Amino acid sequence: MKATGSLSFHRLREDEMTFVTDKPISLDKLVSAKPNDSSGARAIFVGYVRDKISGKRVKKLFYECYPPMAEKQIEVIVEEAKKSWDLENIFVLHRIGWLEIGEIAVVVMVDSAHRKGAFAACESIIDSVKKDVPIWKKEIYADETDGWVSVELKCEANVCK
Amino acid sequence: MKIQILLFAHLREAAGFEMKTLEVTAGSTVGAIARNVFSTTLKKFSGSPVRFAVNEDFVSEETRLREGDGLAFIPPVAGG
Repeated sequence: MKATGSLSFHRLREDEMTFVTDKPISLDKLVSAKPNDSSGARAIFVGYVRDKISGKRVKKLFYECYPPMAEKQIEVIVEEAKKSWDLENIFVLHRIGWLEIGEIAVVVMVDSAHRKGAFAACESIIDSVKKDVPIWKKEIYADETDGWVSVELKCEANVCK
Repeated sequence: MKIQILLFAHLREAAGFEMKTLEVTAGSTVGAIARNVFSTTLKKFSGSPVRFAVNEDFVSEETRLREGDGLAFIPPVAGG
């Protein structure tokens, strides 16, 4: 990530032009990247895979994705955030594929002149990602059963409640 | 006309395919095609919440498809 002074570096690797990755996400490079001189605040949200969901012990999980639409929708979310807040930089990256407990699933990082805009934009972006980006989560439980999960429905063995 | 449907997550697993080309009446709406798919291939999930996207943009059920369009069935997402 380069501090270019523009809003164009919200992707980790500009050459790949991507908001989703099947590779482990490392925070080191991100967090150590210096913000623009005009940025007084940086808010970072990091989502991790946890070991228990809905009371069931989870062994690992699989994020399925519709990649071209996920890229497009995150672009829309980023553009909306730019319009709503005075932001210096926005970074969004979502992991897909198989993930183990404790791995990073998603990162949202926002640089702004002031903390209020940074916090608000960061929260709004992750909320929108969870609502509108075509990524689905299959949990594999410790007892070897599995299920598709979302905020609106829960499906186990292809029966949705 | 020919269109493609794309399924994901539990819908993909239930149907047994991710992508399929369908021959539909010219000018068919998203809703009409979806009702047909739910009443045949995805009976088990008939009435379950789903949004639709054509060529990677969310659309309403009234949207009319054109030759070659890709219609994705987007069940409630769960990223993050």
